[in-house]
Amino acid sequence: MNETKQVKKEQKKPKYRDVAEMVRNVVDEPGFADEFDKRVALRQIVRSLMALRAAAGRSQQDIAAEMKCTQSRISKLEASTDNDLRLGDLTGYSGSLGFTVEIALKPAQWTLADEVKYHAFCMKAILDQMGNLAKKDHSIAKGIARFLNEARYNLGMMIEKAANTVASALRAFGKRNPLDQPHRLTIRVRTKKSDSLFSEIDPLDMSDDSCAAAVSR
Amino acid sequence: MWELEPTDEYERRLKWFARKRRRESQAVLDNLATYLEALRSGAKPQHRPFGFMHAEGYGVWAIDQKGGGGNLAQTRLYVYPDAEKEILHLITLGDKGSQQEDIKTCSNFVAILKAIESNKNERDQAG
Repeated sequence: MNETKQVKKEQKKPKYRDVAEMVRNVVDEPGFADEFDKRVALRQIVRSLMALRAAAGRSQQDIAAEMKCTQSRISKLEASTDNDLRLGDLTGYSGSLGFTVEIALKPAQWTLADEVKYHAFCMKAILDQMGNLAKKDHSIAKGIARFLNEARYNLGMMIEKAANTVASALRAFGKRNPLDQPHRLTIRVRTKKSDSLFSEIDPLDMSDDSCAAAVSR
Repeated sequence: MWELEPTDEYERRLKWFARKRRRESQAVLDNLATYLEALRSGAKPQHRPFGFMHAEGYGVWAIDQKGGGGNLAQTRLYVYPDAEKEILHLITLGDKGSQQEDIKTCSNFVAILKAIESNKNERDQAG
């Protein structure tokens, strides 16, 4: 096979989303992929910091100057694992790139539903702040209103998409066991006009018109 | 989002290196993971962001084993970032001994890739 055919053939090969996936598919050496997974897991935060530095086009020297330390210290920090990272280094490094650090302490036994609730409460706190901000200036209030309108639609769509996946799974279970009752899943979306009223969306009706109507009611 | 596309040559070499030079392979792949995350975060493919990378010409970068610990043999993974398609081509993997041959492989690969793209563009414009 000539080289051009070879390159064309390779363009049709599967692509990989990350290195660990590629390693698992290509390398058959026992334990190699597991060892690599562990290695990657040890340096997630450090890797993110390095990626942000590269994206900002900054050198280790630049970060060192901001953090008032030597370039070799930054080099050492980038070669270390997350466990070796000091909180001060983390805040200093990310601060020099214009980022702030947010640390969340969460119970280890939290379910995915708990995670969603946690983020919903975080959003509520920020939305309260927005509400207070809107009271101060008319043009800010208009901007926030536009944003909220868009956000409500997008969030509704996200939940609806997830509900649709669940509805498909329920249908599939129903097919496997014909004695099962057909399932109907209902999501409730708070309406625009009144906080006390809810409109119902049937997740099995996934037409755009249905979604748009449901959130703009 | 940036994705990885390995060549057959790269996959053959990686299998060999994983068996014979395990620590070096792990170190190089770790650096590759960092470079991929940098590209996804918005790093410009034509800039050299890390000390474990150096330019080989034709837009090809060599990623080495630096940062992986002491007493590691020189090992290089040759990659070509296609910014337009957001594909990081993994061309080949080698050591000091195969360096000249590896660089030649890379230049051929990029030349052919560009020729294929150029033909495709001409066909698209004509059609």
